[in-house]
Amino acid sequence: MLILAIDTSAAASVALVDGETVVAQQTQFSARKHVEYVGPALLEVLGAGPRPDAVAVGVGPGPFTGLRAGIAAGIGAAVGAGVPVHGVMSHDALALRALSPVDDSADDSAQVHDGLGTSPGDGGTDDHDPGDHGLGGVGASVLVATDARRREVYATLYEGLDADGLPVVRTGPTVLAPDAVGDWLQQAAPGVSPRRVGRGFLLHPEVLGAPETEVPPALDPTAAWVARVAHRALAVGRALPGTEPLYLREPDAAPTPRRATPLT
Amino acid sequence: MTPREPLVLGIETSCDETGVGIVRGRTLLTNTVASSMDEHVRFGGVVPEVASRAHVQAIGPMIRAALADAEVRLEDLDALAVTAGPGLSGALMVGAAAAKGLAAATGLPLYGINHLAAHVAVDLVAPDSPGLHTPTIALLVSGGHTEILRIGDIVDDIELLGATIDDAAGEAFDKTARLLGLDYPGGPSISKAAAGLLDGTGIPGDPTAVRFPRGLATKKDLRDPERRYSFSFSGLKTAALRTVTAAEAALATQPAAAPPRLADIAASFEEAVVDVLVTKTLLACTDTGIDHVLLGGGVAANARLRERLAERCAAAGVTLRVPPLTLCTDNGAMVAALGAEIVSRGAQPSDPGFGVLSSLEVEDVLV
Repeated sequence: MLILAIDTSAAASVALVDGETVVAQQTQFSARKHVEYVGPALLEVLGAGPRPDAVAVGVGPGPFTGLRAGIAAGIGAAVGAGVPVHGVMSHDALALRALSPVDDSADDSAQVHDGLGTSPGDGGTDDHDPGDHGLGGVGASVLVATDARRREVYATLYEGLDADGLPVVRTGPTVLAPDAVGDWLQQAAPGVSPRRVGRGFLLHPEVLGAPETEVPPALDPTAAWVARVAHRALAVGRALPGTEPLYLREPDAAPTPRRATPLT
Repeated sequence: MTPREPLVLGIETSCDETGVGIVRGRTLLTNTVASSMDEHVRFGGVVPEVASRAHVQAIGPMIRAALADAEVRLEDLDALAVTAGPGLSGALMVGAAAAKGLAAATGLPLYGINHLAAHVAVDLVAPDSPGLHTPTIALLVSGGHTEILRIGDIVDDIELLGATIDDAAGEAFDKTARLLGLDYPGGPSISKAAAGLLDGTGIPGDPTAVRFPRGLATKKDLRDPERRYSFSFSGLKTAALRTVTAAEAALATQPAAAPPRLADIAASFEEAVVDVLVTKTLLACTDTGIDHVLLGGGVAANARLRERLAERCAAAGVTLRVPPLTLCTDNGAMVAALGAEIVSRGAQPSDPGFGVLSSLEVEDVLV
């Protein structure tokens, strides 16, 4: 199954993946302009293969505006291709990568290489993720923490892979301050010392500890791994969630009470 | 090769309407709109994040519904158009990203276009219109906009003559409606109150009961080219607040004295907004020698504005054109209409890396 995947929950990332094998992908880490990025990236990646059979979008958790860019683009692409669109929790992508062996599914030769986003001064680095492999770490317990801004992190605790090879959520996702993560973890999984994966650890190492790996592809969800999660689920007929974003926060707006006036 | 009657799908998400329209040249095939207005009622105004969340939920279903309603297949389309600005940036991004996804998957050219120009271009496809009349003065009034434009040509010659320097007219209605204890959206509520429909009397309020200020309309303002066509509604809003609090205080201390009717305050407020909109629009006609006015934006639904503008235009020998209200409020058909016009003139599509611009200048019809 050929899947077009998009994730803009942290980085901006687009991939075309056949089963577990990447046909084309590109990712801009430290992305700021998700809407600008997604147009050229989709044209490039879709140009590398035939029409996809499905679209998968990372639904976060992630900051509002950037997150929606990828989801909306995925919805548009799915309508355009006449195929279904599925949601994948973006943290699942990082968890699957953490729980996959190092030599799994690396296929560097097929990747798209271009100059997008590499010009100096654009604030981003385009990384074609030459080592698109699992992290191969030891231990099934993985805590994914990504940047939620406002001095908070999005966190999800995983406990290995299930029989279909999909990451099992033990608790989360949630959004909380770094210094609240310890208590949250103790409540959900007493005594567990999970592996630390994601940019949240890089941003708050003094509270959370340093991440297991600091290379960008192991810090932010990427589309290739969103596609692999979707593939594994769809291949065995498991339903994926819809495209509703996981904001985990309410809009910053207070209802205005109706004003009463004695005038008639 | 440029199709003579390009089939174009347009997407609009600059505020709280998720609109998708399809036109064939100058024929409107569908105008499909979902609104998140109900979700903003409890906030008393459009909350950008609430609008953006609604857009991402509605955009897929709206595109599919528009294609079905127009009985058009994607492969029949010649181009796509999307509002690139001005508007709420988070809201604009949803439409732009969806349009880019649609464009990439179909290979269709995508045009990022100007929301204000589209409000005018909609008359190209209005079923009751002989076509867009140019040159024209355009008065665009909504919850987010209050502008007077000179349109020489819908693609190549648009000039902003004046705009509000603070609140949009629709916003002024919303805020004053809240002050009067009336529902959002404020425009229709104030109109109902002014007509005496809310107090059970059915007796219209007196629009001369309260002498509200007309913003930027003194002789000195009108001599200043920077202010001649500009609007300000913040002074009016403050005056309404003073009037209402004074009336409430008087009612509390002298229950026997008759305070002004709410209908009178509403009618006087509405008159103040309408008067300045109409006066400046006619000024623009006189100054430019253009004898045609097009009204657009959601506040075109205001009956008092339509009546007063019609009277003053007739007296000045100016033709007034008001498209059907469903085409005056934000919609995708206007985006498709402008897109089709741009395509038919052989313009190149936007760079796929284009971004949205919350304050896109009206001169920039195509990004």
